[in-house]
Amino acid sequence: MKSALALLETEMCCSLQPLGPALLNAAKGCRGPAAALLRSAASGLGNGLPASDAWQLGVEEAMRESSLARADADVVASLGTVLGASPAGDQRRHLRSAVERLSVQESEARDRQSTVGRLWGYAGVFSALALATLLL
Amino acid sequence: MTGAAFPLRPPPVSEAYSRRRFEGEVLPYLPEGARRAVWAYISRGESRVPEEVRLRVSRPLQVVVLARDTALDPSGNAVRDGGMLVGPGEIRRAMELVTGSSVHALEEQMRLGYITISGGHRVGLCGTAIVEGSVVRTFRDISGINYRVAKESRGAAVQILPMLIGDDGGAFNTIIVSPPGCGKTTLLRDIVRCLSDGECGARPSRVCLVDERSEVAACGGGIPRNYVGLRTDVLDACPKAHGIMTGIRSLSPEVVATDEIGRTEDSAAIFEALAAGVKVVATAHARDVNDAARRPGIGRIIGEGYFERAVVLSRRFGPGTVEGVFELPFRGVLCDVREDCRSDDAGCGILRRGAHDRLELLFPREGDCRHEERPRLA
Repeated sequence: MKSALALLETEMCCSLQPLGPALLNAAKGCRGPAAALLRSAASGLGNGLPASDAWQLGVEEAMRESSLARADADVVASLGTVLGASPAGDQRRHLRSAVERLSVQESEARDRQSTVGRLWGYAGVFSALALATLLL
Repeated sequence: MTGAAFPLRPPPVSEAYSRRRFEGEVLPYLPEGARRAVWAYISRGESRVPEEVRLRVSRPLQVVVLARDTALDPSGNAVRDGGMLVGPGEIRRAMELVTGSSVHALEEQMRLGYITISGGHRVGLCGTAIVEGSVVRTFRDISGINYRVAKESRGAAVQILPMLIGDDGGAFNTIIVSPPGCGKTTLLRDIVRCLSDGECGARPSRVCLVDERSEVAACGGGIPRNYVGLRTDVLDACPKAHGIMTGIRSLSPEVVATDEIGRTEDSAAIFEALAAGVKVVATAHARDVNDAARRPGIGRIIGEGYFERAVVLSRRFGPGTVEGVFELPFRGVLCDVREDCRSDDAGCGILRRGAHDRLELLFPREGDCRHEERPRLA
């Protein structure tokens, strides 16, 4: 998802592509739920939906296709209100801010996973010691 | 052509053609409520296609027809009081539609306060300017949007084109001047078409059209939406000065045409074109030739006689009314003049130097001078 947003930033802020073509071009460089999000949003835009509604459609499509965490989905969804609504410099800031928040959440998730992993490890060791003590 | 008596009324425009283009190119960019109202209005047989559609926040929806504005209610009825109020949500939606949710891709146009939509129609924006240094960067808090409907009028130049070409059919350097909304772009487009296709006695010419605002040819995907002639090369969305220089170097034009000159760099580029032997046809915002000659950017070109013809437009009988075609410098109106019509006769629209070396321009009055012969003026 982070790389998808980075591609979208390139299309919108460097190539200055209008939002619809930017979404489609960025989707070509992605796979999985990220690509589904971008294509679905482009389709919604092409059908005349406001950008915010089209983006929300894309987020829902991505959540259907993957186990995109609620917190991540909220970060991505928040972009819908600002996409295409301000100059390129602002768009770049919004997209990079979203990427940073995703990175923070990814980092926190890894820390949680690491902590839980250690806890289970300790639990296993103590269980073995307890069993050994009983048998003795 | 003989027998021209100014002011010339604009030629009739096919209402059906204008309606088709309005429905296909302007209506889709209106927010839903305004779209329904305007659609209902033009669906009535007696209603003409508007020249403008105006959205102003907390004020009634308005259409401008024949220079008169009319408020509409939600059912599209013209009303004197009240009317359908435009809300902030509608302005936001209109901005989304006009920009394609792509403000980031339209910064240069936003900076100038208007956006050109497909078909060459100009959408003016009213709001709060964001200024950096002394330069407007963009506009925010948009409070008003004005859709100016472009009208392609093939034949707009037919009445006057013979006055804009020499005996060999080649174009004269021509400046078209008027206040905003008087049909300069429409006339320029048709002059380009006639020169390119060799109509009305013109020699078929290679024309380089520098269409900075995409309003003359209204290119979409590189294809002109308006017909501008077989031999016309269009530099779309290209800054005028750069486009003129590029066109001269790479497209070997016989004529360079461009809209709304006024900046110093425009003048410099036009000088280059003239020095290269290329004819120039251009438009400028001004009340008349005198007014244009006083403008810092282009005054020198006009004052020193580089332009050979001036066409002055007004809205007297609707956009495209030709008030006069003037031979520059200091020669007079290109109309037929009675033998006993003196050069200082106010009724003949003679361009002359007056007190303090100032150009004085006198317009012919309607009904004056039944002209029969072309003037010979020193």
